[in-house]
Amino acid sequence: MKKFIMLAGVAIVAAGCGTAPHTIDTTTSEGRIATLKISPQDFNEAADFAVQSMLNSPQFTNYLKQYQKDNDDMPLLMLGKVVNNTTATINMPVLTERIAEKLMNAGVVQVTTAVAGDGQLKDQSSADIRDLELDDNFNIDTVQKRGTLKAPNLSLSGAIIQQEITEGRTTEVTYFFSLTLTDNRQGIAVWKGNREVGRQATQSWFGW
Amino acid sequence: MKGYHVMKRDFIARALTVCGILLLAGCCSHSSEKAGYLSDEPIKDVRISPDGYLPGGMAVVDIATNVNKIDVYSVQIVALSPESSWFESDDPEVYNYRFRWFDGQGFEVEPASAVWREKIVYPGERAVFTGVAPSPAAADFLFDIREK
Repeated sequence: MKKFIMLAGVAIVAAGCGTAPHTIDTTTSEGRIATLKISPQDFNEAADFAVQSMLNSPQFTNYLKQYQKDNDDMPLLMLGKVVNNTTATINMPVLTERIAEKLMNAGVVQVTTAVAGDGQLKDQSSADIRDLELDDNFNIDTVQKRGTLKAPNLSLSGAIIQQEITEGRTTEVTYFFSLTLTDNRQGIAVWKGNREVGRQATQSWFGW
Repeated sequence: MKGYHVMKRDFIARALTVCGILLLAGCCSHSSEKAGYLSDEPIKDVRISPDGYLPGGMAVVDIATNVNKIDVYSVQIVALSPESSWFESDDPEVYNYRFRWFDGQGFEVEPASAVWREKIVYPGERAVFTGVAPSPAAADFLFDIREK
């Protein structure tokens, strides 16, 4: 009886154990929570894959070279709409802001903050500041003039699509990242990248 | 490209051995090329760790680099995974790898862009690991690989 009580006590104590919050390495999937759902690491890898593919794409690098030659400047990128066709709630800037940051830091594009697609981060300030011309409290000479904003000529768009199949107790989920860079002068894609992330899990007989 | 290192982090002792070999290789290079004085010239060498120290007994069989039209470096490392034997599983191994990039002065370029990637490698497969520099500033790289 004593042994049983001791074992029960140990079990209760062990069941109550947890881990204190700690910092994790967000650049790797090791030690991260693994589920069938799309994970933060998937976005990190998808953005990394996309930018590496862009910088290594003959068509995109040709476009950049030609644009530089014609305009003596870098193209201006707009973050367009990336459709979420998954069952998860996704904050799309998690993916697109990483791509924009990497491309900007690579010194190959400029990024507009004045206009953006649905769900993307946009700075309303460029428009709001111009409305100050109607406010008598402001010196009109210091208010930004209208017609000076630069319109983008390159846009990023795409979709994340979830596909799921189940057989018996096994479920397989695939997330399909599809991204496109479009030269807006002619509406022609200068880069396309597709990446699939697949996960499989088998439910135990007891439903855990 | 100044050079690269292929390191295994799983077994510290082995990793240290690899480092030692690399340091020796570096010293040899210094003494023969520099003749005892310091120079700003980059050391032009390629360092490859012994096959046995790559995870899973993989062997580096080829390395290729390229610079594209916008001056961005890309690198490809081909490694041969050992064939499975009667006492080993036919299951594939999962590796994590990443490339880190450095500019001409040795400063890391875009450290945040060094994301670990997963690769599934089957026994006997020639696994290809590719990396593209995050910017034209990158002139050198470091390749890290470990078993998951």
